[in-house]
Amino acid sequence: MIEKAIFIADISNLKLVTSKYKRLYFGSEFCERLIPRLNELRKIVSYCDRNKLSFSLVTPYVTRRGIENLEKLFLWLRNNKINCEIIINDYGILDLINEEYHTLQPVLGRLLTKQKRDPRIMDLMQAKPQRTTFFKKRNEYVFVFPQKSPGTLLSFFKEANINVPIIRNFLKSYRISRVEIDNLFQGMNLRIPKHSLSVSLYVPYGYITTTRLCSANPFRAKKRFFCGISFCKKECKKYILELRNKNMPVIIYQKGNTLFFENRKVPGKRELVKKRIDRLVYQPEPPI
Amino acid sequence: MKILSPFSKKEEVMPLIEAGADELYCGIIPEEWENRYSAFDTLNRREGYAANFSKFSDLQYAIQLAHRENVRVFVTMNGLYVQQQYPLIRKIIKKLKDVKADGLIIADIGLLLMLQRMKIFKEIHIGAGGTTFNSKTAIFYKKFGASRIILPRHLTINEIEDISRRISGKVHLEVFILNTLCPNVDGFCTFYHGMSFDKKAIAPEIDLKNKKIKFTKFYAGSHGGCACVLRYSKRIFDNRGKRITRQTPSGTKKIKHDRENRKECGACAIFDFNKMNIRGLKIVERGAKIESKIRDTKFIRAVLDILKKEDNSTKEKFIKKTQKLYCDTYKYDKCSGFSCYYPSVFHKTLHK
Repeated sequence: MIEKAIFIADISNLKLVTSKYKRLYFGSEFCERLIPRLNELRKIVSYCDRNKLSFSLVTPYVTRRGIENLEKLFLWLRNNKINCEIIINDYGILDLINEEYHTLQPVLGRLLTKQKRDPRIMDLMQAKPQRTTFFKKRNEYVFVFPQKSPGTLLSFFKEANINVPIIRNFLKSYRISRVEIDNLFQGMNLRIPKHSLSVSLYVPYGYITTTRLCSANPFRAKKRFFCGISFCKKECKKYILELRNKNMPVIIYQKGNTLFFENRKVPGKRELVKKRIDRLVYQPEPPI
Repeated sequence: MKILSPFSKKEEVMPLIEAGADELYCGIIPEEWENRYSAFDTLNRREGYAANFSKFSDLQYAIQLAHRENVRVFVTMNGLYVQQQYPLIRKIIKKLKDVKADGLIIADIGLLLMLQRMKIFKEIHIGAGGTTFNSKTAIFYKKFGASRIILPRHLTINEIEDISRRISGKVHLEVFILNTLCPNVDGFCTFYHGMSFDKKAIAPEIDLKNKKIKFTKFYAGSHGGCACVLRYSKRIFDNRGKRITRQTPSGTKKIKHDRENRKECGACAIFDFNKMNIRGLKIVERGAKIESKIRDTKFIRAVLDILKKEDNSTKEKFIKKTQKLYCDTYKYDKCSGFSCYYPSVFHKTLHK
């Protein structure tokens, strides 16, 4: 049985939750400034209660400020005996949950589930033979000869770190029994033993990269002098960008500080079961 | 504070030590690895041969040279590995111990766990790919045997200070100080640097009247280089899906790797780092030319000398002198601030 979940990053998107979903994901993976406030969490938990939905709180990688904000939420969840899942994207938070919040169930987030997500891999794997090329570079002439990619390289691109037994044992010791992954264009080789880990597959958006030098929200100051982590007016909530380049086989979506690809081709049910995928997490938009 | 300089050839060891490097680091792509994974997925995050050794014998010689000068050498293995790579990685680690490398710079949790079991290296540094954004993560890595944490590029001075204070010397900290201020978070970025033709020569170069003819190979379908430097055409939509054509929202104009093609630098923050008990100052770019590596190492050494000579100097004076030295060294009129690693040095309140 495949559980269907919906991931919303904004409370206003509750309208998108329909009866086909049995679980609600809420929160942020990519920015500590988007960690939900306590009143938002209360509303979401009460909504889940009313609608008999299971709940997963999504957390980002964090600095001290983020830890303080997350602890407020964890404390409230613990005090109210809400045994929900916490999607972890920071090992410090994993440690914290294991030391102090035993009622909360940690899940390994997709920032920590290492996969080969560069969309150009798809091109590399499907490539047709190309001609020898030639280019001039200053006082150099370079001849470039095409070669077939090594077979080991191609199978390697489908791998994820959760196939590594030493990592699975580590996850078990930290009470993690579920991991989150993206739906890659090149496919996925998941070899997870039975009763070891369950897997959630995110559709249709997969993340590619993220930053704290947020280009959706930089230099609001009049003097455009600094390039660092800047003020936040949450412009990421207002805009989405489509990025195109002839070398990139797909359109990239930039929402806030993160780039995403879109892959709507979901593997068949049999394939999902074989890969131990028992949950599909639907994102109506890139979750920022 | 120790200066950690990059090198990729044995000939670079002595010049870098003479320039002021306290520690060195490098990478390697052994032949066995190359045959299986090419330059697409190296043992570290610097794909390509210019940034890496290819023979253990060369690396061994380089390490011997460095050890003669009491300089330690660390080897970068900061890739994120999959199951099929572990047997070969284990073999490479044993060879690195044989050639007397002093420690490893890693990012993969699986490799950390493996090293903890193997008990071969005492010095295990968690690279920026370990994404240590807080003190709890630093302590987490310490539990599994990490001796040093290299903090990610994307931290403010206040955040680094907080981490340093909270871990109170339990694990050493290292920060980036020069070059390659990549906009993406190292450990969370899944773009491939090596997605271009494989620069390793497949036949000897031919010299023809001051012009060189080179022969290289590429894999069908590979192109583009590092995806963060690709020039993207952009279409902007608001959250109702309406395309915005006339007005560009502020800040959506650029996603550019190198904002001004200037030397990315964090030297002005050294004054603060000195008070935070930061152990290492990391100069990046293993693949750069030796002249550039020497110049960078000399520059940071000179900045440390300013700090040493004028121990009671104010921060403002230190920054002024450092900026002048930066401009003199790299031939700029003034320090523009766009390529600054730690701009919060100037405005501590900026990030609050």
